[in-house]
Amino acid sequence: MARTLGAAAGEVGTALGTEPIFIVEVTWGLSGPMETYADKDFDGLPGKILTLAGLDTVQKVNARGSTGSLSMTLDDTDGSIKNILNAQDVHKGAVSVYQTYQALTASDKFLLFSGEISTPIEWSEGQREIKFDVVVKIEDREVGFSPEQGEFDFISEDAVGKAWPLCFGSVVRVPAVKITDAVRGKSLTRYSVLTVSELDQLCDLAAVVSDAENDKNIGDTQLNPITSDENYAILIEALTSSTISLNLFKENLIFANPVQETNLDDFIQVCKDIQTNTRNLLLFAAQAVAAQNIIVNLELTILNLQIQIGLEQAKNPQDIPLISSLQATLAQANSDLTDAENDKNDAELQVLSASAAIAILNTSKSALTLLLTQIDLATIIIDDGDKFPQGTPLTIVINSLKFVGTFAGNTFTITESNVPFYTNVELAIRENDNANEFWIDDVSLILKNQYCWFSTGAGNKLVLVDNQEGARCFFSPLLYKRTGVIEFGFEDRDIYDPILLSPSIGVITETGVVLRNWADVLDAQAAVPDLFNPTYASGRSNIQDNDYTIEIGDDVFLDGDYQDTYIANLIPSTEVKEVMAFRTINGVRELLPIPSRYYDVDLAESIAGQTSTTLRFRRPLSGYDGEEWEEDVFVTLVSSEGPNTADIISYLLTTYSDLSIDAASFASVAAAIDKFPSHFAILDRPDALDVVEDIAWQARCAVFTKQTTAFIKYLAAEETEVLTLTEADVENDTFILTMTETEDLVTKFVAEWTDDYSKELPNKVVLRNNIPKYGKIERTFDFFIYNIEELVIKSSTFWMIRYSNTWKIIKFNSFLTTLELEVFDTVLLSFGNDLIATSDVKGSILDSTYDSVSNQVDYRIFTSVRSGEMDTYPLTWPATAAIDVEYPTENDPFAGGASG
Amino acid sequence: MTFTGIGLVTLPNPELQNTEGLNVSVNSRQAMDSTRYTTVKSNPDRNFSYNLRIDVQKLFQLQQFVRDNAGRRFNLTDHNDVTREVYFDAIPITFTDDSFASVGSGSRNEFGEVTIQVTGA
Repeated sequence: MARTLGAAAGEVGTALGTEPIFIVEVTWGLSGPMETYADKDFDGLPGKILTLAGLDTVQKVNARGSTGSLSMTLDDTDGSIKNILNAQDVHKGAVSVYQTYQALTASDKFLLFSGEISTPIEWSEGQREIKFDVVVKIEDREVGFSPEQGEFDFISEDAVGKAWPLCFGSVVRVPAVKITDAVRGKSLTRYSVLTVSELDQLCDLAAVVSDAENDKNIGDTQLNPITSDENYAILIEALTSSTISLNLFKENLIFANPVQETNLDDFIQVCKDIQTNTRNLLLFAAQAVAAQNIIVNLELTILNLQIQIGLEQAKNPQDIPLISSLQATLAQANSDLTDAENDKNDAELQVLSASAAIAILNTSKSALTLLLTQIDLATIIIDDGDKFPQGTPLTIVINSLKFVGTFAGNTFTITESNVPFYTNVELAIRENDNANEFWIDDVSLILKNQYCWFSTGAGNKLVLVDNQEGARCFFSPLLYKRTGVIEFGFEDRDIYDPILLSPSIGVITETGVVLRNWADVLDAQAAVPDLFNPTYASGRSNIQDNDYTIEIGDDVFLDGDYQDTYIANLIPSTEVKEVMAFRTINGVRELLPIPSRYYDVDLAESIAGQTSTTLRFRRPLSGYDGEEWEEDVFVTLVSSEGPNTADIISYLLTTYSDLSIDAASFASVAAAIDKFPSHFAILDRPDALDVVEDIAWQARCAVFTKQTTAFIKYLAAEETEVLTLTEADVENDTFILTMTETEDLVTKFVAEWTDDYSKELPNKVVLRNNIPKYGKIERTFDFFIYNIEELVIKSSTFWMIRYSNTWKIIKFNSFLTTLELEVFDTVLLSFGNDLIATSDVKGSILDSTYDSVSNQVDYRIFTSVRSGEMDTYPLTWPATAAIDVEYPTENDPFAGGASG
Repeated sequence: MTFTGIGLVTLPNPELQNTEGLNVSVNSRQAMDSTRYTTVKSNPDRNFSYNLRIDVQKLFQLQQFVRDNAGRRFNLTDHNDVTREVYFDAIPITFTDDSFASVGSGSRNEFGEVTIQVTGA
């Protein structure tokens, strides 16, 4: 950016007899006074400048902006500066060095250099002078934001000092920063609720054992065993194996729920007793039937005998022996009948007794079942329990089940288990007529795997939500109601239709992942399952209970302290496209979208003094039982800033530095590079000027500052020259033609970039050129601003051309007539005698050093001519190269091309 | 020589090595095509340096004068009877006091040398 000379242009262009005068403005400290000095008393300014040495401005390494410095000595004979030093910390004070001419006034000055006071700063008592260095502003504030210790109560300790992602353009899967951390612990208690199905299995095993014991008892008590030794062994084996099976099953249940051991033993005994009585009932019922058969036969026999005796007495009354024989037989039959009737009565009594016993035992079994399937946990030991509020009643959540109790250290004493997770959940209008679906009003509620109990409306209804998509819940079993009657053969049969759950049904009274003591009341019109009716009906007895388990290490949360907050972007976004996290399914870890109902997005939330893009999760991801989410969240979003690189740089400088923006240069470059958008996130807190220079370099630009204004230049485009330099501008015997430094060559250019921040390794673009000439000289560059490979290749190719070739560089001393030139300025080099090339070529100022004693300016200038050539290389400035020029040119025999 | 400021001190004439700086310097250089460029450096202030041989009594007077006039301009009337407004360049002034030590057979030399540098017009 050429120096503006203003009214001094005439003097600058004068070759003879000019008298330059330096003027410096020094702001002594950040808030100190601003004083102006000259190198002699001039136009009311005190002549305090003793020396200005090494006034140089240079391009930084790899053209990443410019830097400069000088060393200044001011006279302090009058002690005025010492007085300032007594009251001010002058470090980092602003210094501007101007030049004017004796023939002009102080107001005609033009800027030569600006910077900040830097060490060494030395005030000499003997010499009564102060010396200090002045350097171009080299650092500024950190980019971004990270909360400090104790700054905000709601930010977790883990988030302190962690930079919030600062996104530009459309970024893919940026790791969001979790800033809150709910109080949580880990269960050290293992516990499982026994289910009815488990108890049914246990009871079946107990019955088998009971039968085996009975068989063995029979074998043991036979006076003349009907069983052989082999059969007896089989009885023993059957008893042994069935007992082992029972005990193993019981031990597993006791391991899951040790406090229920006694009740389990009682339950087993009850089951055995039921089996014994059932066996007895069957046995005596069979005996009663057998006795009844005997009775019937005897009664028939007796009737026949009575008839026969009557006939014989009428026909042969004298045949006394026959009649006596018949009467004796009749007496025996009557006696047998009496015995049979007694046997029958005894058997029937036994049947009644067994039936009564079974009824009593079933009552006991039901009571024990209820007892065994209840959550009877009294205490839970929780690692980090001492972090929870102590001694006050509170509700904790473990695996979606709520417990009320109090903490004393790591011990949580339960006063109530299985508290309803939600109550009075409003239903929403249905969106279809699928009988296994309903809609809820509050989409933030997570009903998946929860039982929903409707105690309102006609009769109680109980369903289990199997799945949920936002407000849409899928449940089982279906609910039916009787809607009419149909003639079925000789009978009338009821007609049942599914119940469609809607707001007219009423609210969901309670929910829970474990069945509560919900009353088993059926709607008068509800379907009762039987041979003909559907197997579904409303009522608890028709639904299976889930297995609820607390394992050691399960997370324990405070109810109501459940939300995790993530920062996706330090600044507002216009859209959040996707939120993802790693999840393990069947042992495979994958990055998967998080259901949007799990979180709320705020594109511009005021938080911690920032306006940021936030995600608030309704519960920690790890709190979704069985879903195996990890808590690192990756967000794809469109930021409110970017993607134009010049605009991004402008935003960074105006937000994180004291510099203002040169609107003209930024507008010009923004238009030139608009088709090369940047999409990236800054995930740490680099120095603002450093990161700006880096971003500019990646975009083939350079940013440099003058006083408090930042300028930008697009390096890929050829510009109109600021000056034409000829032999008249070069001091005799100072012209030197040199080349690119050997150590600056790069023949293998590796560009790392990423299109997805969830990836652990970056993508690479590898470009090679001139390896046969210079050997393999590899360097790796981080192109973090681009997530489009073509743009990485384009920018990398530009820099690879610059770095992999040896360019002609000229050095010479010049005169004050060229003071207009500054670093990065374009010049036309018009030298004869094939000094540089066979024709005029353009170059760019690399360094300029102003010697204030001799009033000469030393330049080092990059030329567009490569070593060994005498013409401009056509792709020195590719953005403005002729459209038919393609890389590699015919003069690039060793170009290795690009690979992704 | 007479220094007149806060106080007054009269000193002997300087030794022969005194110097007086110039007001104007010219820088001249030539380009490859023989174009000539010149710049001028001028300053109304000049640098003056005087070597004085003074006795102890004058030394004390001079020290007092330097202390009183540090950071101030004062009038200096030199041996040519030219009066200039000047200030001390370097403070404190270094006195070479070796010559104050005893020499020969133990007699004490009461004279010493001092260099005074001032700037002024």
